[in-house]
Amino acid sequence: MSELVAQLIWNGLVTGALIALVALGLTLIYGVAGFIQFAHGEMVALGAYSFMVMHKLVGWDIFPSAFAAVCFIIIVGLLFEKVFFRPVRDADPMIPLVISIGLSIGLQALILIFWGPNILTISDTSFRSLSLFGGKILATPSQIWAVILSLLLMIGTTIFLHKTKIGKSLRAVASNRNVAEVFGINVDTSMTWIFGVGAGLAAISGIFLGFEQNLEPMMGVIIAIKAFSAVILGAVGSVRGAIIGAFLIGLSESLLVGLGIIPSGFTAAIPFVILIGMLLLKPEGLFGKRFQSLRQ
Amino acid sequence: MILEIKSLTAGYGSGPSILQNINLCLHENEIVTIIGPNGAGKSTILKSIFGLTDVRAGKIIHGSRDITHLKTDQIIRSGIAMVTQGKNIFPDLTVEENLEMGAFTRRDTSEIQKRKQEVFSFFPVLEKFKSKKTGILSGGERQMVAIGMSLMLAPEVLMLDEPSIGLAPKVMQEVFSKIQEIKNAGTAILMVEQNAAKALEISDRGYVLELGKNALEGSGKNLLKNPRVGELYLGKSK
Repeated sequence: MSELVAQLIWNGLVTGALIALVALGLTLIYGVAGFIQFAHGEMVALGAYSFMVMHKLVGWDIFPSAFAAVCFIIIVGLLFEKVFFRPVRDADPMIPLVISIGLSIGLQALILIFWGPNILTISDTSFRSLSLFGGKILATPSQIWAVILSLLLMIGTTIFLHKTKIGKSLRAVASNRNVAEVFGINVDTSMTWIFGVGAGLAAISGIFLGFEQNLEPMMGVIIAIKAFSAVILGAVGSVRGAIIGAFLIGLSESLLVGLGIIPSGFTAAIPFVILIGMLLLKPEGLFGKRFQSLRQ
Repeated sequence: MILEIKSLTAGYGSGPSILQNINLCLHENEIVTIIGPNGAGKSTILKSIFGLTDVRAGKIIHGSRDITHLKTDQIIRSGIAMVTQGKNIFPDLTVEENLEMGAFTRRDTSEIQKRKQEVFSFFPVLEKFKSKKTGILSGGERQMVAIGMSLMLAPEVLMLDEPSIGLAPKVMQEVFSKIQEIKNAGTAILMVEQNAAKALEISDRGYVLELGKNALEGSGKNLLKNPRVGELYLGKSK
C-alpha cells in the first residue's frame, strides 16, 4: 500500500471518528425523542469555541479546558431539552424539529455576535506530528487521541445501552414510549440522559475538530450535514448504522479527493451524493428494516 | 376486598367525563371481567386505576390505601400491574430485556432474577426466545411477553386490557387458561374483554358497562345466562 493511500485512510478514519461521535448523538436523540435535532451541529461548534475560550483566552491546560467545555455543553444540552423540547414532547414531531432548526440558526448568530465572522484557530506549534507504522503515516497527537477516544466512547455507549438498566430503559423508551410509562420508566429522566449524552459526545467531537480545522460559525452545520448523511446511510435510529455510515463518509471524502478522483472543490458535495444515492437505492439504510417504522 | 372503586368519575384532560359514578370491587382470588360496547369506557376504568386519567370524583382504594391520586410508578409499587391493549411490548428489545423492563421499578437484582426464572417456567416458550427481539414473535407469544412483564412485578392485582385481541382462537384459549393459572397462584385479575363469552366463562364475576355507567353486575355464569347480555354482547338472538 502506498504511503499516500495509508495517509489518506488515516485522515479518513480521523474524520470518520469525529463524524461518528456527532452521528451517534443524532441517532440516539432521534431514537428516544423522535425527531432530528438540527441544532446538534451547533453543540459541536459551541464545544470547539468553549474549549478555545478556556484554553487560549483563560489559559487552562488542554485537559481541564476540555473537561470544562464538555461539562458546559452537557448543561446547555440539558437546558435546551428542558426549555425547548420538553414542552412539545407529545406534539407532532415536526414541531420540535422546526424548533431545533430555529435554535441552530440562533446559535450560529450568537457565535457571530460573540466571536465575529473571522476564523479562529486552536492548534499551535507545540503539536508536532508523529510518524506511525514506520513513517507511513503522519499523525498529530490530537488525531491519535481522537481515534482512540471516539472508539472507546462508541464501545462505551453501546455497552451502556445494552448492559445497564438506564441504557436498556432508554432503548425501551425508543421502542415504545407508552409501554415504558406503564412500567414506571420516567420519560423525563430518559430525555435528560439522551440529550446529556448526545451533547457530551458532540462537545468532544467539537474539541477534536478544533484541532483539525479552523473555528468558524458555520463549522457545526458542515459536520452536522455529514453526520446526518451518516445516520441515513446506516439507518435512522440505528447506533451501529450511524457509526459505520460515519466512517464510510469520512473515508470516501478523504480517498476520493486525495486520490484526485473528485476535485477538492467538490468535497462538500460527497455526503450529499452518498445520501441521495442511498435514498434512491436503499432508502431504509444499510441496516434498516424494509417498510417497517422504527418507532411505534 | 383488594381493590375498590367508589363513585368514580373520570376523563382525559379537559374533555368530558368518560366514566360517571362507577362502582366496582375486586376480591382476593377472583377474576372480574368488565364488558360493554365500544366506547363504554371499559379501558378508561383500568387506566384510571393506573393513574393515567384525570379522576374528577370518587375514590380508588387498594387494600386499605387510597391510591386515587398517586402516580403510575407509585401505583406499580403498591402492587398493581397492567397489561395494556395492543402494542404492549418493546419490539426492539429482546424477550429477556422486556421482562427486565417490566421490573424497572424494582431494585432487588436477585429478586428480579428469581422472578425472571419463574416467568420462564410459567411461559416456557419465552425462555426459548429469550435472546430474540420481541418484535419477531407471533401475536400470542408477544401477549405472553406482555403478561410476563407484568408478572415480573409479582402484583397483587393484575389488570388486562383486551388480552385476546387479535389472537387466533386456539392461542386465545391458551392465554385465557394462563390467566386462570395466574389467578390460582394468588393474583386477583381485573380484565376488560371484547370476547365477552370466553372471558365470562373463566370469570368469577362480571360488570356490564354502558356509556360510562354501571349497567349490570353478577357472577360470570349469571351474566352469561342473562338475556340482555346475550343479546347485546354475545351475539345470541332473543
